[in-house]
Formats: sequence, structure tokens, C-alpha cells
Amino acid sequence: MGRVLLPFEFYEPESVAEAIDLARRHSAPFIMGGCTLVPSLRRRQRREPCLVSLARIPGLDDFSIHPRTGMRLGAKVVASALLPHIWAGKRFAALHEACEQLYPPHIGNMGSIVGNLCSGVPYFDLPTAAMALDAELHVTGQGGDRVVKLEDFYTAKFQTVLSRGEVVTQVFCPPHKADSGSSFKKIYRSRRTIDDLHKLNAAAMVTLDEDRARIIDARVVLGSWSFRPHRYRAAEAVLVGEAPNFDLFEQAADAVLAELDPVTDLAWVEKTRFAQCRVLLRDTIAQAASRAKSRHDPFEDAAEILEDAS
Amino acid sequence: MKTVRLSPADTDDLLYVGRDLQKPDVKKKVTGQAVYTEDIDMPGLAEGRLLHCPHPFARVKRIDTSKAEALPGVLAVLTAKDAPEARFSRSTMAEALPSFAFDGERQDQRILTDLCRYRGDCVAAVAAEDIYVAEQALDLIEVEYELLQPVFDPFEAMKPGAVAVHDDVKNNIAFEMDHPFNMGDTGKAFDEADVVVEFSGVNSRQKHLHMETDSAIAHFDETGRLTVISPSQGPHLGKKHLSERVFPDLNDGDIRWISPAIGGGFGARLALGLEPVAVLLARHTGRPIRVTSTREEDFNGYSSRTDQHQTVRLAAKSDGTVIGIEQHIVSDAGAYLSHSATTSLVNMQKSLGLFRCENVYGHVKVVYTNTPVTAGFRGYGNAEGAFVLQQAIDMLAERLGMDPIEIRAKNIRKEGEQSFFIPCKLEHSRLQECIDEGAKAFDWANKFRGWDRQKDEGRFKRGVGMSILNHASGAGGFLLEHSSAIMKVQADGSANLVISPCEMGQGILGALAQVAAELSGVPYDKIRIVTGDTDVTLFDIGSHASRSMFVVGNAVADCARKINAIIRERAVPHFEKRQIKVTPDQLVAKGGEIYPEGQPDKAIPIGEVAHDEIYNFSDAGAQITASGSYLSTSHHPNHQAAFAEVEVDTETGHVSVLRYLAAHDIGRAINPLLVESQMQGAAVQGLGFALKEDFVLDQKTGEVLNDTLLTYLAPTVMDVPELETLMIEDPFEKGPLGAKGVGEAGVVNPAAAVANAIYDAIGVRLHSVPMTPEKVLAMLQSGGAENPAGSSCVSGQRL
Amino acid sequence: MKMLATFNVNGRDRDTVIAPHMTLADVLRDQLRLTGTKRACTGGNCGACTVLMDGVPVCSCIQLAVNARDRKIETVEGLAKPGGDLSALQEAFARNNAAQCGFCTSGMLMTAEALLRSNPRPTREEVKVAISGNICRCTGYVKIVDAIMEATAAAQEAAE
Ligand SMILES: Cc1cc2nc3c(=O)[nH]c(=O)nc-3n(C[C@H](O)[C@H](O)[C@H](O)COP(=O)(O)OP(=O)(O)OC[C@H]3O[C@@H](n4cnc5c(N)ncnc54)[C@H](O)[C@@H]3O)c2cc1C
Ligand code: FES
Ligand code: FES
Repeated sequence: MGRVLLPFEFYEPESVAEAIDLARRHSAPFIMGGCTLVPSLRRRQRREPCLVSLARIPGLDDFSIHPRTGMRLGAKVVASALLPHIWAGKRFAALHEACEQLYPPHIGNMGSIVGNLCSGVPYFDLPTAAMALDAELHVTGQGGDRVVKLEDFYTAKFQTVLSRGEVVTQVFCPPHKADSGSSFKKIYRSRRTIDDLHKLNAAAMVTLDEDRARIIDARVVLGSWSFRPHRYRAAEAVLVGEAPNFDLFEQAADAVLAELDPVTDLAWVEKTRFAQCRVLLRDTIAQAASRAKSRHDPFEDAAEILEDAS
Repeated sequence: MKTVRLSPADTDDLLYVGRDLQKPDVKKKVTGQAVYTEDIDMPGLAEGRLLHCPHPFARVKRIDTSKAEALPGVLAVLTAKDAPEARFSRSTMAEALPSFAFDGERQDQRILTDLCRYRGDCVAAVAAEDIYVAEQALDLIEVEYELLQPVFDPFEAMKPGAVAVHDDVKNNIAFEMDHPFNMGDTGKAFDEADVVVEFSGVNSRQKHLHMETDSAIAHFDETGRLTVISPSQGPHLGKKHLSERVFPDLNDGDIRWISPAIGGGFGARLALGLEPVAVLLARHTGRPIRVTSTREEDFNGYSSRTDQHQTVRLAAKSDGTVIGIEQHIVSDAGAYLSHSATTSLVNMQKSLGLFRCENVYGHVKVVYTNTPVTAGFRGYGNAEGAFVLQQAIDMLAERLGMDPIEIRAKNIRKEGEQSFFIPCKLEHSRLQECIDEGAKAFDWANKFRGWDRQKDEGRFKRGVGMSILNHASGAGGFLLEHSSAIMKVQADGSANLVISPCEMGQGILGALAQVAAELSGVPYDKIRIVTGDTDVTLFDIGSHASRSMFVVGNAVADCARKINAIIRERAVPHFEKRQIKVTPDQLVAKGGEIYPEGQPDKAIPIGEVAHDEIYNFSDAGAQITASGSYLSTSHHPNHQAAFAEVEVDTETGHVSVLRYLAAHDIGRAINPLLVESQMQGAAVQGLGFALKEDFVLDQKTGEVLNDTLLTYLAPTVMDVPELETLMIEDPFEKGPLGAKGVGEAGVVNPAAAVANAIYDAIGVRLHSVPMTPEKVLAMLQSGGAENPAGSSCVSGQRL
Repeated sequence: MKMLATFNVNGRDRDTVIAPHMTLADVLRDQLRLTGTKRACTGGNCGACTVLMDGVPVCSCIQLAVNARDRKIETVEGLAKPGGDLSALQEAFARNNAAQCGFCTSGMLMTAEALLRSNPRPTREEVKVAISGNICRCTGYVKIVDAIMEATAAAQEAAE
């Protein structure tokens, strides 16, 4: 546990190709805002003799967000960049909420969204939210480009499918049907064991039919329970085809709980954790459904803004 | 903020006291100019860092420092063999305690050790030219440990055959005693009682969380004299302790201790921190050394509250009169004793001294475990005690169908009555007025809906609760309670006031300057505070026990009155020169001027007199100067009543405090703004203790699971409820201008009042703080049967 | 791996030698001797080290100094008016006793400064959200929020 960082070599490439090359040659990780890397280096949880910075590569801070074309965020886009954006708030609410609730707020000014997703830290919020939005990552490496679904991205605690030298250039969340809504929530708890992640977070996306009477699509994600957020298809199946209502959301939450293993061996801790988890999931789904029902983005509005932008 | 004045307003002729003046160091603090230990630079300063044992209980089999020593820039790498054999306690209080409590400060620790009793124990210390080199050197030290079987639970540790944390201590019981002030016959009282209630509870190890982590600079000058610079709450005791116990070859006078600005104390800085190791490194290198620590080291190694497992039993008559009180405490000291025995003793004194009761019995046991060291914390045991006792009192009220206010009013000690806490009479108390005025402002009469009311419908349920306390204004009659001050008047009529208290943020320097200004006649803005250097300041046991305003305040008052008298006496010839014949008694020195009583138009500036006393060739010059002191021989408590309203989310267990009101028996508020600041800060710290701040050890590994400010949930601005503070003013004749203490008290009531409010809302009592959502939910789910983490110290059972 | 670097701090360019593993807080404090910026957790958790980088509050304790070279940095030392008079915000902190031990104060001031620049008329609730990542152990926050409210444009105008 250090007070300062141990020395490392540092490269500041100015193109993606150069960055990839440097990272491969030195078997070095990339660094963007450093919000994950710097604290872990200081605590000596990680040791890296060399880092390759993405900070000076132009173009990576572009982003575009629109209900019709989806949300595309470059690797350097920081979490707070999303906050003032109207479409982020309305149509990609889960990720917007997760960014808004980043605690402490200063971190949102420093840490990139892509960096958050790439960290593979089990209790981070943005992966949970982004998974509910069906996010995919655009990866560039020496061998060329590939697209990886966030659901397939994590392989183990702190580990992703990326190999050294592969860089995520952007994250993309596809546009969704008009009558859709998403939401994100989290609760802090106190840790009981080393594997207990001290926090629970959940995100959901609900799509209604044209009459807004039945659920036609749903995504239910719970994070912070294991090394990565998971989608719970059994819970989604409970929702699809049904009219949204409170009891249904509770059933969906129960379907998630049925798949969870306890974390500690303290019975009372587990019981309360399950109870809190149930409320969290139920309320998250309920909020997503309510947003789906009350969405307001008539095509005209959207078109107007599209014109303004161009 | 509201002030309720019980005596006729007498503030009209006060110029400074009773006013919201800005404290002298505030400008430094808002411009970033205040200098803390880590901000200091000096020629040749090198940096020190420590290597901590990563295991809860281990013996160093082999330690190899050669690689570290070979690193360029490394000045020294020290291990246990380089450290003095002498044992010491981190608590410096031993030097100020009476003999019966002295055992509670066992000298049991070494600076560097090869038998590590917890994860924070230091096995090596490095000094290097800069911090980067020091940290690389730490990385190069090779240590091989022999792992020993640790024990983390105090009740397990007491069992026969348990692992011994210290070889020389049987069953790990480091300290055990019947409270020295026990009185009456509780056995008889419980036999004669109409009602008996019993309640057990335990508190978590709340961290002090002073924002400035510990650091210390040590430097031997060319004559071999030692200067220590560190954020200490009690440098005079510190240097005595350091010379007496840690470095017996040094004398008290060989040490000069400087306290720069202090980034928060809350009791933690009453103990020695990094000073001994800094001295050791300075001695080995011949260089000034600064040793610093990280937040994680603070969590794993340094102090916190002691977890006190308590059981309280009350015996009462059917009219609510309490006739017997018993309190049993089992405290978990952690690996070394530090303040944990004395905080447990004081817990009893404070909480049991609150009531008029002739049969009192208290018993304390303090146990070693392989967990981090605990220490004194704001309130010194009082908050821990209140959480249990104030719930027990409410249980009694419920059994008898009495209002919580009524039962307390019936039993609190009144002026003139004898106390359990240090055999002495209560000379000044406005506790009843605190209860009455607080209840009125809170609208208790309508908010408290009776014991048998229907609970609220639905998911969210509301309730109210209250709690009362008495706390010290210095521990007169128990600790070495004296202090002294010096004042000298400069040629321009300004003055230097030399005082000892440590400014940790409480604003004491400003308040003392206000007293000095009021009584000396030198204006507030012309008083310069000189402090923070033991070569200059007079002996004083430091800033704690809410003592500075009362004890040092009285010393300052004494000194300032003397200055005032001298000024008036020396002014006489100046009036004679102007053909005004007066005696000193007929003169008034006030606000920078001197004038004959009733004739302010004849005023001359104090500066004129002061100047001529110094620049005086005809008579022998004699600068106006005086010293004053005060010895407090009795205990003068301040009091508080607090009221809380909460809302419990019965689905998640989350408790929101909607409103919190505290009414404080202050005597007189020398500076109401500072008093209110203390009350607010303490209330929020107390609410953190009540609801959030859990210090979680992994039960298998003993690892601190929340060793960052992100995972240890300290209150943020979002947790602050509507806070109201009432100052109940009625000057206490023995206080400086009537003042009593306030600094610690506010932290005591929140957990107790909130616990009682939770009970009112949902009908279950919580046995442990913090009252986290998990615990509340577990209690609700089991209807109160499953009671997480509280244990009875009579039976040792998990409740 | 040392390098000569230029930092624009409080409107002035300052040259110093740094290494890539130094954080901005380390460089400001140890190199440039601007010790008003504090380190209390060195983990981005408490806000004591808050400085403004291109006008937005960041935790200088986890910000690598190399990445701050071409940015505009503002610290507590730059808050006072030219000539040394306290800014309205600093005045309000002093008047309300919003600085007790003072260790969180620089970070609080910088966070509040950024808020008031982007939102000169915040509500009490907005102020709380803005400083929700700044931990203060002494004040209980009430006086800090009071002080910031007193320094808002609305309050300034009302006072005039
Ligand atoms: C005090 C604190 C509080 C926080 N609170 C929250 C919270 O409440 N919720 C939450 O979700 N998160 C939280 N975080 C996490 C924070 O959001 C992330 O650390 C941050 O967003 C990571 O982005 P970065 O740019 O700083 O990444 P870096 O630290 O620079 O990098 C993170 C990791 O991702 C890799 N990486 C970065 N960019 C790329 C890329 N383009 N391609 C490939 N690999 C890449 C790096 O190699 C590294 O392993 C918190 C962090 C801190 C320090
Ligand atoms: S010191 Fe930087 S956030 Fe705490
Ligand atoms: S004033 Fe001490 S931490 Fe805020």
C-alpha cells in the first residue's frame, strides 16, 4: 500500500495504430483518465512497468446520441459529458442515470465511460446500465477491427476478452423501439466478506407494444453480485407478453433471485441481501416500464433536432 | 440557531463575548495558507515510510533489508532490533491519570516489532531522500513470517485455552475492575424493585476520520535537542510520555513539540501516532525526518472507537423512580490497550452519573484480540453508553406507561445532588430546561403518539425518539486539570496571548481570544494568539474532554483580569497629566480604551499607556504582562437533550432521519457561531455513528473490508437532516464568563435518540450501531427475534 | 523517466521537472509548493484535493500530472482577488465558520467555485449535489452549504 506510485514508463502516442503498436511491444495497458488504474497502482493491487496513454489521440472524444441512430461514445468521452444531453436522459436513461449517480461526482469529470467498461471491476455501475442497453464495443487491434457485445466481454474478475494491444475505440448502444424505457438503480451496503461487493446495482429495459398494453421485449440486469453483471433471461421471460403491473415485476424479481447463490455464510446477511435485491430489481423494472409508457419523443421533435444538428 | 436565555440579558455591556466573531485562523484556512505537518518543508528534510505486517498474528522469522539499503537515496532501514526495548502505550493519558485508573493504560507496545499482533503492526521503517525512493525501498524488504492462529472475537478470546495475544496476559483480559465509584447495594435494590428492565448492545468501531492522516516530523538539532512536529491534541503530555516511556534517555526538557494546523482530531491525536518512529529514524540518520501515512494505513493501523459490549439493568419503583443501575462492559481493545480501558470506565461514569440513583454497580473487562488498535473518541465512551442506557430507560417508560420525557425528568440529577461520577455535587445544570425547551421546539407533545399506538400503515413508517446526556467540561477531580496563560501588551496596545490548546478546528483560539479581549480591555482584533510550541506555551494536558473552554478559559480569564488591573493602575499618571484625578478602581479599561467610570469621552487609548511602559527612560520600563492559571478540582458537566424523527423503509430497512434537534446547556456561549458549529458537526458525526459507519472486519481473515473513504460510509452532505440547535444559556458562575464545555457532547445523543425513534416507528429495538438497513431489515423479518451482531456481556451470547 | 513540464496554474506558466508516475497533487504540492491543495485519501474518494482543470473539478490525487500539462489548472491559491482580498465565496466561508479544521476547505471551495461559475443561482439542493463528493468531518456541512448559498449571485444582489 503506497502513498505514491512506483515509477513506470509512459508513452503518449498520437494515433490509434501507434498506440496499439506500443502497447503490444511493451505488453502495456492503456490509460485514459486513470480513475481505475491509478488507485490500483497506488495500492499495489496492480503493478505495471509501462503505460500507454490514449489522452493525446485525436478523435476519440467524439460522441453522438439520437433516438433513431443510437448512442455512440468515443473512448475518451467522460461520464459527465452525457449529463446535459437531452436524448441521453430520455432514451438511454439507464446509462445516463448511472453516470449521474457516479459517486463522487468529480470522477465523472475524469473517468471515461469506455474505461469504466474496460476495467472489469465487478461493482462498477456503467457495465450494468450499458448491458441493459445492449451495448457493444468496437475493438481495434493489430489484426483489424471487431465488435464485441458487452454481454460477452467479461471473462473473469478484472478480466475481459481484450488482449494487450487491443483498444476499444467506441461503445455503441443501438436505438430502440419507440415505446421503450430503461432505468438504473443502486444501493450501498456494508461488506461482510472479501467477496462481498458492498453494493448492489440493477438496470432494466422494457419495450411495450404499440398500444402500450403488453411488454414485447425486456432486459433485466443485476450487477455487483458476481464478477460481472448478468442478464437474467428467466426474469425477462416472465415479463414478455404480459401487461406491466406491480405483481409481475415482483415475479420477475423473484425469477432473478431463484438463480442467485449466497455470498456469505451468515444467514441473516443473506436474507436481507436477497430482500433488498428483490426490491431493487422490482423498482428498477417498474421504473423502466413506467418510462416506456410515458415516453414522449414524437418523430417531429426528433426530426427537428436532427436538422438543427446538421 | 436559537438561543434561549434563562437569566436576564446581561450581554448588552459585553463587547466581544456572545458575538459571532471570526476566529483568528479562518482567513488562513480559506486561502489555503494554513500550514499542516505535511505542508512543512525544511532544509534536509527526508521522508519516512513504514512496512506493516500483512497478517493478523505472525512472528517475523527472517527479515532481509539489504536490497532496500542498497537502493540509492535510502538513508536507513530499521527493524525491531533497532527499536528500543521499552514498551509504551499509544495513549499519553497515563501521565495525567490518578493511580487507580493507571493500570488501564498498560504499556504494551513497541515502535517496531517482530511479533505482530495485528495487521497494522510495523516491522520496518525506511527513511529516504524522497517519498518515491522510500516506497521503492519498502518494496525491496523481504520478510518471512511464521503465521500464528489469530483470535478476533473478544468473547472467544476470553475463553480458557484461547490463543494469547500477549503472553503475559491470562485469557486475554488486559484490564478488569469493579468501577471505583460503585456505591450502594444494587442487589438489594433489584430485590425491592417493582420493575426490572435489561438491555444489551454493542457499537461498531467508528473511525475518527480526521481528514488529515497522521504524520510527524522529528529533528535533532546540533545540540542534540529534539523537535517534534505533529498534529497532536496534547503535546505537553506527548513529550512527557515520549521521554518517560519510549526514549527513557531523553528528558522532558530535551523535547520541543510543535503543533501546526491540525486537520481534525476527535480524540485520535490524544495518542502517540507516528512520532516515536519519526524520532527513531531521525536519531539513526541525523536528518529531519517526516513520516507519513495513507488513508488505508489509518483504517488498518490507527485508532477508532473501542467496541464496547454492554448490558444495562435498571431497577425501578412503579412510579418510575430508578433505584438501582447495573452496567457490565466487555470491550475489545484490539491488539494493544491504548485508551480502551479508560474509555470504558468513563462510559459508565458519564452515562450512570446522569441519574439520581444511590445503588450503582459497574464492571469493566477489556480484552485483547488480533484486531486494529482502538482509542479515545469524541465523547470518550459516552455515546457508546447512551445507545444502551437511553434505550433501557425508554423500555422502562414503556413498561410503566410513562412518557419518555416524564421518566427522564423524574430521574435526572438536580443541582446540589451527589453524583456517581467522581464523588462530587452537581453545581450547575439546566438539563431540565434543555428537555423542556427542546420538547417545545420539537413539538414532542404532538409527535410522540404514546406507547400503544397503531404503527403507520404502508411501506414507510415514522417515529420519534429522544435521549439526554451529561458530559464533562474537563475532567476536574479525575485528570490533571490545570492550565495557564500569559499575556503581554505591545507598545501599540495590541497584545500577545500565549495559550496551550490545540486548534483542531473547534475554534478554541478565537473563543479564548474573545474572553481575553472582554476581560483585559485589549480589543479582539488586536489580540494575537501564540500557541503550538511547547517551548513557549505553559503546561496543559491538551484539547480533549471538552475542557479547553472551561479550564483554559478560566486561566485566560484570570490572566486577562490581571492585565486589566495593571493597565488601569498604570493609566493613573496619564490621567493625572490631563488633570484628572482617579484611582485605578475608578477606571474602566475596555475595547482598547481607558476612561473614568461613566465618562467615556475622557478616554485615552490603551496603546498610550502600553507604549510609555516600554519606551520609558525616566522610570524603569516594565512591559505590561501577566500570567494566569486555573485548577479545576471538581466536575462540571454540560448537558444536552436531543430529539429525532425518523422514517423507516420497511422494505429495504433504510432509516432516514427527517429532523434532529439538540438543546444544549452551555452556561454561556462565548461565540454562538462556534458553539453551533460544534453542535452541528458533532450531530452529523453522531448520526454517522448511528446509521452508517460500520468498521467491518472479515471474520475469517481479520482484514478490514472497508479501508477507503468510499467503502467506509461516512456521512456526506446528502445525509444531513434538518438540523436544529438550541442553546440554553444561563451563565455558570465558575465558568469563564459563565461558559461550560460543548465540543464532544453533540456526538452522544444521535444513536440513542434515533434508536428510540426507530422503535417508535416499527416496534423493534436494535442492539448494535450502526443501525444499517441490513440490521433493521433482519429485525423486521424476524419480528425482533433475529438480532444481528449485538451481544450480551453478561452471558457472552450473540443476541 | 524525468521530463521538463510546463503547467498553467492560476493563470501563470510554471516549469518544473516531473516523472510520469507523479500525480497532479504531488506536483502542485511538492514541486510547485502550492500546499493549499490537500491529500486526504489519495484515492479520488473525498474531494480534499479538488482543483479545477479547464474549469471542471477533478481529484488531483489520481490525476497523472503528465496529462495535466496542457490544461488550465486552478487551485485555492488562485481564488483571492488580485491584491489579496478574499473572493465573495471565501468571505462567505469565513463569515459562516464553514472552515473548521480546514483540511477539506480548499476542495470545498474549488468545487463550489466551479458550481457558481456554471450556475450562479443554484438552489440549496443543487449546492448539496455539487459538494456531495467532498467529505467534511468537522462541520456537519450545514455551514458550508449556508456559505455557498450566501455567495450565490442571487444572495450577492440581494445584499447590494
Ligand atoms: C473514487 C472513485 C469512485 C468511483 N465511483 C464509481 C461509481 O460510483 N460507479 C461506477 O460505475 N464507477 C465508479 N468509479 C469508476 C470510474 O468510473 C472508472 O474508474 C473510470 O470511468 C474509468 O475510466 P478511466 O478513463 O479513468 O480509465 P483508466 O483507469 O484509465 O483505465 C481503466 C482500465 O481500462 C483500460 N482501458 C481504458 N480505456 C481503454 C480503451 N479505450 N481500450 C482498452 N482498454 C482501455 C485500462 O487499460 C485500464 O485497465 C469510481 C472510481 C473512483 C476512483
Ligand atoms: S485526496 Fe483526492 S479525493 Fe481524497
Ligand atoms: S473542516 Fe475539517 S474536514 Fe471539513
